[in-house]
Amino acid sequence: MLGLAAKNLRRDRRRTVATIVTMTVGMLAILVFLAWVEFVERSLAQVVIEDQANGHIQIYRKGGPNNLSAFPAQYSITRDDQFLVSRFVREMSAVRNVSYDMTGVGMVQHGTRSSIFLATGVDSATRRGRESDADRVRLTAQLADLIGARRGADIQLVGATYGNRMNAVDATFADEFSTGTEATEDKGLKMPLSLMQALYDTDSVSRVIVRIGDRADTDRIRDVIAAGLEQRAPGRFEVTTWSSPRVGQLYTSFMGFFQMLFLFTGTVIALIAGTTVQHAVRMNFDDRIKEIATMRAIGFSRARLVLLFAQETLLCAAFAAMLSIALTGCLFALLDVLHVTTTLPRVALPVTLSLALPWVHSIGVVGLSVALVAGSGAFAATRCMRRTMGAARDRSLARALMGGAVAVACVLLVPTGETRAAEPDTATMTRWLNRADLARGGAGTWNWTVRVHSSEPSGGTDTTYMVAVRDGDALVRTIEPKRYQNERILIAARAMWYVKPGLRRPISVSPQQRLVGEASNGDIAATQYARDYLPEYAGETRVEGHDCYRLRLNATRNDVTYAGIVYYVDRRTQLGVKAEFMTPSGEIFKTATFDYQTVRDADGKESPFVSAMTIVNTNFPDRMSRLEYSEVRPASLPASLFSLANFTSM
Amino acid sequence: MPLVELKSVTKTYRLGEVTVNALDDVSLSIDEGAFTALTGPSGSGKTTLLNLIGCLDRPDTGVVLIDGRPTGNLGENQLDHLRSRVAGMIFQSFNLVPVLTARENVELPLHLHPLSRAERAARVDDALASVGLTRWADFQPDRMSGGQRQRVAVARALVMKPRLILADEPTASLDTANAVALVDLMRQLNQEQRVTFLFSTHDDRLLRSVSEVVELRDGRIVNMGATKDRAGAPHGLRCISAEVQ
Repeated sequence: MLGLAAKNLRRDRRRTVATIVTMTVGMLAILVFLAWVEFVERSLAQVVIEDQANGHIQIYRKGGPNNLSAFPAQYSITRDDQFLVSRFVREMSAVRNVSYDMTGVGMVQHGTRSSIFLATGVDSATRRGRESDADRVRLTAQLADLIGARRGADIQLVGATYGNRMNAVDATFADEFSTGTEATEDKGLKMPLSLMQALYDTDSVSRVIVRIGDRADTDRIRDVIAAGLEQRAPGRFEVTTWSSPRVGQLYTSFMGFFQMLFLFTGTVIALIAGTTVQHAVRMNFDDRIKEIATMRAIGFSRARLVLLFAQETLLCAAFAAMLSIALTGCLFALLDVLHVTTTLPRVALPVTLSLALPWVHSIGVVGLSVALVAGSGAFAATRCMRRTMGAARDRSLARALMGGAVAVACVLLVPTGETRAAEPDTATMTRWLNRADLARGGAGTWNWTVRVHSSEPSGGTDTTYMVAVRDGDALVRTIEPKRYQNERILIAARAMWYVKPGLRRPISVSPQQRLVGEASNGDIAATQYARDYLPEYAGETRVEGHDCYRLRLNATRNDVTYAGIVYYVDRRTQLGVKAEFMTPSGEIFKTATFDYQTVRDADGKESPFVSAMTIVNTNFPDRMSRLEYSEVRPASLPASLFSLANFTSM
Repeated sequence: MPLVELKSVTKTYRLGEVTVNALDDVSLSIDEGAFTALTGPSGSGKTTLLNLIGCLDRPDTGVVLIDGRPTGNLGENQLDHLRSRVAGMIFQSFNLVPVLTARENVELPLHLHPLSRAERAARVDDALASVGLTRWADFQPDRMSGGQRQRVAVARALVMKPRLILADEPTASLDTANAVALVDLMRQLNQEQRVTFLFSTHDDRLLRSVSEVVELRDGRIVNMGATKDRAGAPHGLRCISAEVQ
């Protein structure tokens, strides 16, 4: 039968050649696409493991992968735990390298230009030793451009410590690097672990990075490490791999997309190949209908005839398979010779296109394709056999169309029957804001002391500041704890500056940086809502037992701390009772409530002044700060106190 | 026991909205060794009758018995087996496989049976010799004349040594010389090997050489008997239900 099948292929050579060419192209497409997927997989794994410095295996504190960015202090690995983990992991023969790693965000500043950074702190145990110099950092080319820094430039890094305080360190821009991914290419920064720990004021690390010899061994070693750590410190650690969704997000998301694309493309190719085969078989069948009838008449069963057509298709497919494998090999070799480079989606640097497919995969895929094609041929032959050799069935496929959709759109026009009181004009609202600002120290000349108690799940901190204000300008000096003593913030003409002992020069604090800490620097120093925001009346409501006006304050400038504020002003006293602070997208991210005391102003006149301010993080309600104001006194302060020139020398 | 027996067989086809009675209550029996012609105008039901006897189709009503065995209850595989064992078929347009040689065409039915290569070769040689085509064994059909092709078809029908050969207009595509030669060959095989022949034809040359004729018209048997004198029941042929329906 196989001999007959082979001879039958010579009947219409043109058709046979066309069929083989179509099948070859289809299989070639599948093989090349598969090799491309494998290339992408390999390249993405390289980016995740090496360029993003995730290593093969990562050890976090339990819950770390999900919570580190929000609660770095709570979910980082302490010094004791670092020793415990590394002592155990280093004993394993499959482990090539163990290092510590830290990630964090902040602002990098060069002169007057600053930009956000997304940093990795790399310890000297990693294969790249260049980060070992204490203050030498590496920036991505885009980030360096953003801040206008050249190699060797002095830069400053600003961030929030694990205790949620503002901090800054001096550094030197040593070299450029690439994060490997487009999304972070304008933010990437690498610094020595010790420098990053100094910036975040901690000796903890985010995670322990483990590199092994063979990527394929990752899951097995991960299991061994996880079991070993669970035995040594039950419930304390979480072990992930480079391909886990949280760590290898780039890899998993892109490969997920790619596999879907492959499935889609594979289905399309299979459909085209299937249709071609069906068509070819059908044409063959129709051409040979008499001969087939004869064969039936001399005793050939339908199954045998179907087998004959399947064998014919199989022979074509087998020939196409060999051809496609040979062509694929030639194509891959040609690419190697030409050194073609390509860029991967979301990956920053171009990579050399090197396609390769293990023989097992090639033969497996092609074998499967051949089987599918032969099956398709058999299916087509069976259908033809039924159509022509079997009893004709008149199948009338009646399709009933469901019609008649009744859509009644009921628009309920609810009249806004609420009778509103006359809305206050802008001048009136600005007057209320002025009075409220005065009671928060936003106007006039004052000295006061504010003690800030911040609490969060990992613990609490207390800091005391001495604040001097003069008509919106402010100088804030840290009094306690002693290690932060003499850190200073200056707010002058809306700009904010930060300096601490040992820092080469003051750091300009951007509006975003002012938000550092639950109680932001802006909150500590007070702000002038009447000056910086345009009020909009938003009705009346009752808050904390007070009848209040609800004012929507929209920022009139983009260098203010908050993009918008919903401010509740007591109708009777015209003091701010509550404020809801909003992101530029209009989401409330923290709220503040105010208590008041009575103080005497410079003229001896009694006036209300804020006594306490409680700030709660809307997204994490267990993170809050309470600011308690004391020693509020009117003062005579010279303008020179608030000048940048005098700021450093204080 | 007759080799072929039909009892009240009816077969209808639908051609669009029209129902055609291809065979209408036909009863017939053919004894082993008969050399019988089916004749009648086009559309009279000759081919349908051959298809039913060859188990290529099933009657709507009535019974077809081959060697005393009713075929109506047989499954697809059993019918295939019956066809390959009992009946050989010859067609008007030869229906040879063009990519195969004469030898391979003749050998084709033997692949359905567990025979050794040598056994197959011997049978093929015998069949080709019996139709006088030994010299042409390795020629493909397109290099042979119409008569030779039909003889290859006869050899293919003979190779399984069937007891019955059904032929549908076997001489229709042949010139007179080839037609006469084929008829002589068939007659010879009938007489020497006692192979039963049942064939449809309009060809007077063929009709003259047969001893029995069944004449069909509009799906019914209208006449049957010996071609020359029609006296008495011819050998091997009788109408079961009635002399003439």
